[in-house]
Amino acid sequence: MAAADSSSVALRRRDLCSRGIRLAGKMRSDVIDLLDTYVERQGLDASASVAVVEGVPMAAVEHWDEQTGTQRLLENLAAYRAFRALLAQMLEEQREQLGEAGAALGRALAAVLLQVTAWLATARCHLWRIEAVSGLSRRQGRSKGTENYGLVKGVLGPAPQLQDARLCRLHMDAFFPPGSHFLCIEFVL
Amino acid sequence: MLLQSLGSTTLVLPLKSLLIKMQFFFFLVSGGLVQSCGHIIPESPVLALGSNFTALCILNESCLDFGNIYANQIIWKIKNKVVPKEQYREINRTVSSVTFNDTSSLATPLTCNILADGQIEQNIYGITVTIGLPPEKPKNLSCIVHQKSRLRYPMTCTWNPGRHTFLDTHFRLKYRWPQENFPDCIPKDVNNSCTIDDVQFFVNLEVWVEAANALGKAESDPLVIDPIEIVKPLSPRNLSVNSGILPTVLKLSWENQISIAVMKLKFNIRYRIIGDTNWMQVPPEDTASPRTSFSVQGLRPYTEYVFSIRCMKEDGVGYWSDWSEEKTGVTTEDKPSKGPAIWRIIDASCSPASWTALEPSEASGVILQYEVTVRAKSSLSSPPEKYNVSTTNLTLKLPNGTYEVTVIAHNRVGASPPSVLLIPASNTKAPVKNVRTLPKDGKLWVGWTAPNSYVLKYVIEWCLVSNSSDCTIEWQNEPGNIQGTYLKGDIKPFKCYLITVYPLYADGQGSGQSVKAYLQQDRPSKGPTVQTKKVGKAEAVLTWNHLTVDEQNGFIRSYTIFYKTIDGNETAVTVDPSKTEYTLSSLTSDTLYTVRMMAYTDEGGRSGPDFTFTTQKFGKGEIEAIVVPVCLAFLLIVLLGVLFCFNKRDLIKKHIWPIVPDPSKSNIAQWSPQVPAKHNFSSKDQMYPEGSFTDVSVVEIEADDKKSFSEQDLKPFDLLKKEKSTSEGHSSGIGGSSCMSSPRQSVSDSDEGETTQNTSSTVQYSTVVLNGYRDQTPVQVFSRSESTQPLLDSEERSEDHAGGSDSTTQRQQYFKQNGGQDETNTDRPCFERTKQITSANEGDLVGFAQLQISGQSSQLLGLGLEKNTQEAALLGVLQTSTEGQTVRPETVEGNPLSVDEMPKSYLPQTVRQGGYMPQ
Repeated sequence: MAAADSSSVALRRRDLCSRGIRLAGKMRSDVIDLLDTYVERQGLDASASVAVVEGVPMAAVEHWDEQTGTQRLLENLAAYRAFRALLAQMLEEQREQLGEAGAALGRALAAVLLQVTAWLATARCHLWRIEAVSGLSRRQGRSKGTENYGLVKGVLGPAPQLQDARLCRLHMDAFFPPGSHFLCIEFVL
Repeated sequence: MLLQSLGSTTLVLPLKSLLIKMQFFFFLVSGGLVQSCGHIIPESPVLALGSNFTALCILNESCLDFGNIYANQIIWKIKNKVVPKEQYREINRTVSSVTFNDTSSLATPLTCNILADGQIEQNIYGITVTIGLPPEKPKNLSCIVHQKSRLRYPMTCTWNPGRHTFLDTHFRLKYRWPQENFPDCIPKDVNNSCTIDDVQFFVNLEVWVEAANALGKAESDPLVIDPIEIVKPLSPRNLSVNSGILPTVLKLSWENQISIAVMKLKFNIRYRIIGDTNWMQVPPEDTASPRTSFSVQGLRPYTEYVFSIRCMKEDGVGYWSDWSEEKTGVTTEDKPSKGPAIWRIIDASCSPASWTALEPSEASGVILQYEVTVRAKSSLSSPPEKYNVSTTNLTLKLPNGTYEVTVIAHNRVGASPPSVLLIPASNTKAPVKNVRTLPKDGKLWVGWTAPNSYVLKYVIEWCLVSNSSDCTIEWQNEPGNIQGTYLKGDIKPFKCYLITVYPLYADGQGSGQSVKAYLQQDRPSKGPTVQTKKVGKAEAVLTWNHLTVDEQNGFIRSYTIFYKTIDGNETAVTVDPSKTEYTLSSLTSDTLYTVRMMAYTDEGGRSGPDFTFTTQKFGKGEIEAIVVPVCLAFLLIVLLGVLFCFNKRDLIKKHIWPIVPDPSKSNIAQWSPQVPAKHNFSSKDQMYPEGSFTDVSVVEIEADDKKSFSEQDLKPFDLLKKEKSTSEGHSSGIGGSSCMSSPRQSVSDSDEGETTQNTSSTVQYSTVVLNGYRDQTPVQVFSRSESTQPLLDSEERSEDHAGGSDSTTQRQQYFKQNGGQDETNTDRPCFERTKQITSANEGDLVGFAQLQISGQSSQLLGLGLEKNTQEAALLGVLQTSTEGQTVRPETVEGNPLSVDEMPKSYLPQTVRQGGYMPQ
């Protein structure tokens, strides 16, 4: 029973850590659908892909070897913030130009915008977690964590201050027992 | 300007105030507006139940001078009830407060009133008071995301709102992300659930409920959850079922309605044979990964299946979708997997061989025909006979012998393995033992004990036993290694089944062993009809018929006979169910009995109709026991009578056919009145040779002859004798000289006197003899006759008998008996005693007559002794007690006169008209 519980917690922890990737994947899927709708409505080239649309965050895999997890996370945060601004602008323009006729497109844009916001919120929690683990390690005089359940120890570095870490604590404490050093490196795109 | 005066009020209030405030009578009107002379603080408070509360009534300064109103005159009232003044407090001349320690004693309205002039109560102001409870913390908050379409995922949260607050309480479902707040979800028409139209996955959402009313606010514990973990997805759609290459495989295909980018799914697939209600399920581990198709294996050939599928998040977090719509598919045919079960039913004229139609699972397709081969085992040289039939039975007319029957089923794909049945000439092998049945789970289980030999298989036959139809045999095969099975037919409750078990050996069959059984028993549908076969005085033989098998509804375990009289208790007798007759005993004679009968199964009994019968008054032989002795006694009496008559035939003959004197033999020439003494003497001598009757007439009863009388016996009658003598003295007269005279008139009662009178009046003849001793010559003998012609002595006696009336017959008979004694001469000793008595005095004669009677009844004798002073009474008793043996005391009393006292006259005592007048 204990083994089963441990397995379940590990599975959920993995799920939590992969959440950012999955959210990004869903967001990308929705953006593709949105783009198809937009291209169709605007009469644009149907061969356009998400890859060529400026502003859509992409995984900068070419720099991963050179960056720490925190750096990658901070980079992604910046990219998604920019993307959110873009979507907000598009939504505003769409409302002005298309009016009621573009309601469906507007809902799709709003949904993507909401997901970007959600991703940003989740990313902040991971940053909070990174900061928390970093602070814990510093207090314990440890430079690195030792546990790994499919996760890798986060690269500890400076993390942004979170104004409201309550929600992050509520959720993550369910998967990361107090005092543990687990980090979700998978979250980082 | 003050317009208000006490007892006269004008109301001009704003509408809003009118709704919430009470009616006031004490107002100031200023500038067209009406102002109250005071008000209450707080205005319309909402109070928590059980809390304390203080209100202030503040009077306007402007009213003080005009109305002389001060705070000490204020009276607080709840509705119309005055609040005790202990709760008041005068704060100053214009303010009064009232305090309630517990708001549960409060009601609305709470009014501030004043006693104007110390007498008249006027209302100043009033407020409404609302009492309730603060909201409780909402509990048990839970949420679920119902997928409505590919892109729409509304989330519904529910919670327990807590106790009723009696106040208007608002609930809000609040949710947010870190640093991102969303509009509250406000429930519509309910207070325990709310639906958020759309949620985003992969980010934690904090959800909580806020409840608020006038008394406070409460929040539930927050629920932090990623909505993706509480999704109930839509079930897969467009499910299709396709036959595979193999006859045991069907392939399912479907579409998932949730993007794999959102959720990876796992599946459950269930299926069942069409017509069957039990679902089977594909092992979950086989469908635990995302997919859109699956091949279900291990199915039966040529079988139609129904499929359905559902899905949920791959990791098992969340909810299963509903089951998809059902789709059917049919597996392809295969050759029959086994041959049909075969059995025979032996008939006197032929041997129908029967086999079961293959189950669809065994037929694996459509059976086109059965190939039956019959081979005689006795004559191996003869070729086997082959039949191709499409039915499941074949009637064969086979000579006596052993045969081997083989059946092979064919479908479009191929042939089944052969089924072989050996039909021996006779079932000589060992049978099974101890066949028994047991209803179990709505089916009938049959068990048996296997014989010692190896059994190839068993055949169980059964049929429904009924009065209305023949026993149609059904059967089933069972393998030889079992000793019990359920009957596979449609076994009905309350019906009797005859079940037979046959063991089949490699070289023959065993004889069948049968048992009767019921799947379920019930009370009999009717009771036995009882009736009497024979009814006696104290017993009755009851008879009845057994219930038919259709009426029994179970095994008849016993009969019970209930019988009772009309007003008696019912008696029950239990009777063995095998009997059809029973004898009720110890019954009361000549009594109406009601009897009924109940038949019992294991489930209860039912009574038959009532039957009544009446026991006989006399038992068997009782009437015969009474009648036969009576008849015998009667016959004996008759016989004795006949014998008596025979013995007395001469006397009877004499009475019935009296001897008519032959006139030719009369000797009238010898008759001479001058010599009557000689003539009479001669005649008397001739008739009474002893001459004893010349002195006294004696009535002697033969029945008492045996009684001897001693002198001592006669003594008690001496007194009576003297009385008699006295009485006789008084009655002496002319009749005293005749034996037919009636001196008894003076001693007998009226009846006796009447009899005597009759006697005197009807006796027209008498024989008058002279009292004298025979040695003396009588003076004269006189005879009287109807005829003017003198008769002979003998003739006169005959006429006495013939001419007597009925009333005198008895008495005359005694006289004749006296005379008869002389003729029959059968009691000579009595005559001798009579002579002795005759020689005694007359008192002795009376005593003699009474002793004759006392010889029969000493009691009568005693009675006579007690009443010996009443002669008449004594004589009456005597006459009554000796009825039939009448004693005529007059005959005794008439004669005691001595010869000297006898009047010398021949005049009769009475003379009938036309009678003879003696000259």
